Amino acid sequence: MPTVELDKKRVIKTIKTELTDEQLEHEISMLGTDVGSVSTSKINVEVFPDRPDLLYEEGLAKNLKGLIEEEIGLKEYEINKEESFEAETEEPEARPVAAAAVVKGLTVNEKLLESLMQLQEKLHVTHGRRRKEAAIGLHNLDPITFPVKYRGVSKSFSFHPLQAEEEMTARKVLEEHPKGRKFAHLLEGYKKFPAWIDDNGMLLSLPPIINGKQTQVTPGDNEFFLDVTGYDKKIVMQTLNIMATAMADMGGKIHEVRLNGETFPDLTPDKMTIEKDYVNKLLGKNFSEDEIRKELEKMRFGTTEEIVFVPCYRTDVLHQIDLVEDIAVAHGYENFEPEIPELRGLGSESRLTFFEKIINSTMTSLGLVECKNYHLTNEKTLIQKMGRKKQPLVKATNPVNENYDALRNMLTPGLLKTLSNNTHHSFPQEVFETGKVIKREDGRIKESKRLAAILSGPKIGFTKIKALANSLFSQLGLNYELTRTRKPFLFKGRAAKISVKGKEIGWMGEIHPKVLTNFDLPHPAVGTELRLAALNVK
Amino acid sequence: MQDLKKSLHDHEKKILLALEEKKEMTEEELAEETSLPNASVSHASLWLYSKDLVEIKESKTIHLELNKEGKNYLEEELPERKALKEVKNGLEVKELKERLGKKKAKIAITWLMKKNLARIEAGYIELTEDGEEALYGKTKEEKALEYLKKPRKEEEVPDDILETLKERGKIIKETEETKRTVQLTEKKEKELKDRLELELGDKLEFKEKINVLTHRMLKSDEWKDGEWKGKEFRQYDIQAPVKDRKFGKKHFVSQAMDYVRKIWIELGFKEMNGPLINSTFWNFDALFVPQDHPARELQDTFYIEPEQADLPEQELVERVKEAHEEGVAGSKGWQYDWSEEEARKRVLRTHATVLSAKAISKLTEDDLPSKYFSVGRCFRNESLDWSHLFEFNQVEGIVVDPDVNFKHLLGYLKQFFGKLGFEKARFRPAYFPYTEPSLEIEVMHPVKKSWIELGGAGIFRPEVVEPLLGKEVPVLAWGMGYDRLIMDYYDIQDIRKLYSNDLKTLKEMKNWMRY
Repeated sequence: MPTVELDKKRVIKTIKTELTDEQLEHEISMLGTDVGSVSTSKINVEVFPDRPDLLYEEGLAKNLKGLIEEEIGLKEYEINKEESFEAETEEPEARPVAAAAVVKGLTVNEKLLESLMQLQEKLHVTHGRRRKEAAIGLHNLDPITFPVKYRGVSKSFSFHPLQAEEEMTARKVLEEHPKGRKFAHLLEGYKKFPAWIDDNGMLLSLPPIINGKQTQVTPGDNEFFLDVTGYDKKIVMQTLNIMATAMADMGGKIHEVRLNGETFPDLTPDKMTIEKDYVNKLLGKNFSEDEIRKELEKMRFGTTEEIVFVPCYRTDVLHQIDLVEDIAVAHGYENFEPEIPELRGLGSESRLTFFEKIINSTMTSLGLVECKNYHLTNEKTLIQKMGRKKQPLVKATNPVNENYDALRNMLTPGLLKTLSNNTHHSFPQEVFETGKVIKREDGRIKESKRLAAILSGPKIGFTKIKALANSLFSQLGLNYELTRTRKPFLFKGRAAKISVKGKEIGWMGEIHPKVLTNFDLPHPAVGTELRLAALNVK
Repeated sequence: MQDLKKSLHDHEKKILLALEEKKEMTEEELAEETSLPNASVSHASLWLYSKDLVEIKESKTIHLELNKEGKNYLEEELPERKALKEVKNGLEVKELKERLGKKKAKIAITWLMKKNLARIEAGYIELTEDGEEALYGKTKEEKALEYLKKPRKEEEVPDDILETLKERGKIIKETEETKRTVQLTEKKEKELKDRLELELGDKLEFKEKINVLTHRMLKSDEWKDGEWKGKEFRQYDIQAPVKDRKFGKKHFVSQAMDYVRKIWIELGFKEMNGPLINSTFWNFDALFVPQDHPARELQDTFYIEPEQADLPEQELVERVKEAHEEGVAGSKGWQYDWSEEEARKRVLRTHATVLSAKAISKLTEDDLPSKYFSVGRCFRNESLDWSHLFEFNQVEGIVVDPDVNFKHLLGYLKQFFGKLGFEKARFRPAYFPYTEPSLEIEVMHPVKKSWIELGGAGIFRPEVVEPLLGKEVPVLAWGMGYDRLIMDYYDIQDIRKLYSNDLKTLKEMKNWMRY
């Protein structure tokens, strides 16, 4: 969730009603934004990714003014069409979809510029899916000669990018420029790179990588060219709308750009309908149509008797359910009386849980201590240290932590590791674990629950684990048979296969000395591992 | 004072009684007097000493006895005696060496000369006057050997004999013995009697006390006849440290899980189980999370390769696809090309909601209303440090009921969190991709007296429910990361401690005692 730091003065300046810090904090939080802190000059908020229109001071203020009923209903954004800016697109193969706008009459100081950059960056990450779906370029309008063109350029095209000392070819930008290296993967496989070029051949931007130096925005600038590129027209237009309306909220005037004859931006609100019964049934209320309209207007929707106008920056509204939530938010969650439901139906724990609990209490009654390990571990612990032969494990493709990249296919290694972390405590140590193991079998992934136990200490031998098995099986009302077996991690001649009703369900035996030394254990150990489901035969 | 009397062990009393008469006795004497084994006397004396009731004096005695060589000399005779006999009338030194053997002759000659018993002139040896006398009497050495025929204390050996023996060297063995003498000095006796509230002339009288009940006592006829009524039992020092019992124990996380499971069951919910590895179809797509959503990215989610997952029946897949591409139930949908390939990827479940989605898909009209819960491990691709763990426990519940609404959701939440011990709960708007309205729950921490964020809730979006259930029915859902509560209860700061399995800590931790 993006966290932003907002300038408290600018928020307060935009709202005419006087609010105390507590009121401000409460209203912001009731808007669905997590307030980190309100200090004398700053407001720290966490904005949910569906509401980028709250990421800047004037946007937050616009919505707060609705909530406190200082200014309600749809905010109209005018587009100046007197002076039209011409642009062309050749729809380059990479990022073929483009949109643009011009904003004038907004003198940016350092603070304003900072919040525009912050908004742009958060939009890149969330709405723009890390620039893949939408990349934004903000330029000083002054040096640009129209018409501008959006087209593909060759890799040897040379320009002076931002955050660089000199001109570079596009290829070099992707290879060496920090932003180039970070986003080069988005242009991988394309022969030509997309670029905005003005009538004099000056590069405005090389989306989604970087802008040109000549059109860099600096404090004091007051006219801007805004470009957005991507693959999906809806996303590109929404992103442009959020940027353009933000700049208008800050005091700018939006001007039209004609791109191949089509005019941008299109700030027309979406039209939706809402059914009173639907709202009331879901919210458990008895709102009148007027009340519903009032709540929606507080959330800055426009309404007529039949239609709800959804502001162009509200990209999160897909269904009337989204309006229902806004009605609830406007009404205030605290104004819904919790209704304790009539408790119908019987609860139950699953058979699996029930049985696992029986196993657990049986093992603890036999004096063992339950341990819990991660499902994720590594090949070294599961295979090498156990002396098992190499086998395909179920692994995570992309683990952040390399020591935890494989899912356990056995519980015993985890318990041996547990004991190796406990050698400074007194012996004997008797531990068990129940839990899932994940195996590859015939190209399929299989999950099953297991029980494993390890007893370790001076003079502990096979008889101890057999005694444990005797007690366990008799308490479960089962008979079991032992057959001699061999396992790479067990002592030869002290290893047994355990069967119930002729079906193999696990093993028991003495842990091989080489395994003990691999885990650095100071005393002999015996163990068993059983399939849990196989114990549950009734 | 009564306490002192009661806390005295029988052995201590016996020793005190013996000392009252004799005032000062060695441990040996005490053992004889009290008929107790030496070790018991030793222990009991030390206990009395630590209670400041007696003095203990230590004395060292050296015992002397003949060693192997000394005994040999005593049995046979000293080399010089042999030589005396041979030299009686004088003879060649050479001849003497032949008769006694070279080595013995050398020792004998040395001693004869040293004590002036013989003289040698030009290779000829003959006795002196002292020698003549010695021939018919006994030498000092012989007298000393005779004296030490039986072992003696060093202190009782006359000085001249001791000197002779030591001078001769290598014929005696010394052993040192430490002896303790226990004393009941007048001062101690007075203190003891003061503490027992006795006059100085009064005799100490202790009744025989029973220490351990034995099988024989319990089965004896006298005891059956009630003789135990007259017996006294020794009181124990109840503050004395004891060794812990050996015991088995359930892991505290398991205990905490049992607790929350119980709460769900009491509220009438049925438990859901399911695999840890799921298709992205169930983990994301069925929950209306668009395929390019950041939550699906590699850096947040564990993907499992290379196998592709099976998808459920085609009809359901088609409905989910439609929900994403064009929208269902009046929704605009996400408007993109939904990829079946993407939905077949496998992930370690990122939330328990995957179980809820599956449960809803299995419901029919007749099953409604239905309530389900799950408690279990979920995964996120994260590094490991004190506040981050790649495995976490989530609890989640759903209510599928045509007759419930937002207010019921709040009611369920109040009830659920109330049972968890949080009387006060408040709700704040929030965002989750699969619920609308959505909210976050904050509860008042009863001890810390501050609001803490404890979970998320909402009503499943129509785009989620419609494809799964075939119709739009309100599904109330809420869940929370449970580890935070466990850490709060056990005051654990480092999240890794949940699974560090330190056996000592596991055993010493209190049980989950919340009702």
